[in-house]
Amino acid sequence: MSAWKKLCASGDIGENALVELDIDGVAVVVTRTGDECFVYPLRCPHMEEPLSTGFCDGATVTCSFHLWQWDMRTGESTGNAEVDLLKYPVKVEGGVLYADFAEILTYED
Amino acid sequence: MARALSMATFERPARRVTFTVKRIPGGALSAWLGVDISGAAVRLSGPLGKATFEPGDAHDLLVVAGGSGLGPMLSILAREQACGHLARHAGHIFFGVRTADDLYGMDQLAVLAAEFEDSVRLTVVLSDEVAPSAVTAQWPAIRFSEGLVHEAALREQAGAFGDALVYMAGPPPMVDAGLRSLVTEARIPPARIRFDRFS
Repeated sequence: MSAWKKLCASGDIGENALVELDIDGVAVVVTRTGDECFVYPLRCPHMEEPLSTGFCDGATVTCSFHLWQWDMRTGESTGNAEVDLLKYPVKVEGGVLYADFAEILTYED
Repeated sequence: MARALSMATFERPARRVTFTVKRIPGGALSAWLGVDISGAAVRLSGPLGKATFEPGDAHDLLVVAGGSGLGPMLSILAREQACGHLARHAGHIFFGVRTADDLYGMDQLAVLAAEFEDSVRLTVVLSDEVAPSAVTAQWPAIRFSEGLVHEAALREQAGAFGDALVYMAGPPPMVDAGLRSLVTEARIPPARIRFDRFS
């Protein structure tokens, strides 16, 4: 069963910004390129650094700590990342960004 | 008291190690600087850090060092000098400090510039002043520029990164901003970026 929750107005997320949000105790990082928004668990699967300190260029998300990189749309590693990035299902309705928290995404130890 | 410091020299076998440490007024370690502590027990552990060099790294070189971040870069450059790397590969070294009074390691850099005048370029970047003419005259083989060192390096190296290994060392804000530009603007693959943050 899905559990859609409102995050913010999609326009509140700057182009290629990585914004940390706490949604009912679930820490996520949100980014946007054009009309597309993406929501990932806040912590990098490598050393648990917050991805909000990383970089996004509209194609790739990079953690600033050890420069692990992923395709921002698929979450797949684009090089040195040894673990793919998890993504929450998202939708934008009426300019509002929602994510489905039916499953709280975590990385295996 | 424990500190993470980077060796500023390269010697094998090493009988002496040299560190670059910035004296901070009131700093706990700074109280020991300049004091004769011969005979005191010092415990070392390591090595730590990721910005390392191996002679098999067959790449040109771009070094971006801010403040005390030059220390470990001097160690890497000494290693590259010793193994002949700089004779075979181009290098551009950017060293940033606030004012000319903050410069150090210039003798070693000048020796590098003289020995590898065809392959090594050195640029000193001052953030808080234009280099005094007396300073530029003192170091004719070294170029001087103004601004923030990572911005100067990205600007002057734009379009000419080639396959260079990029080393960054310095204060965290400098390293973070430099990494962001290297990754998102210059699009350097992370495997070719080596860095340590010094706070």
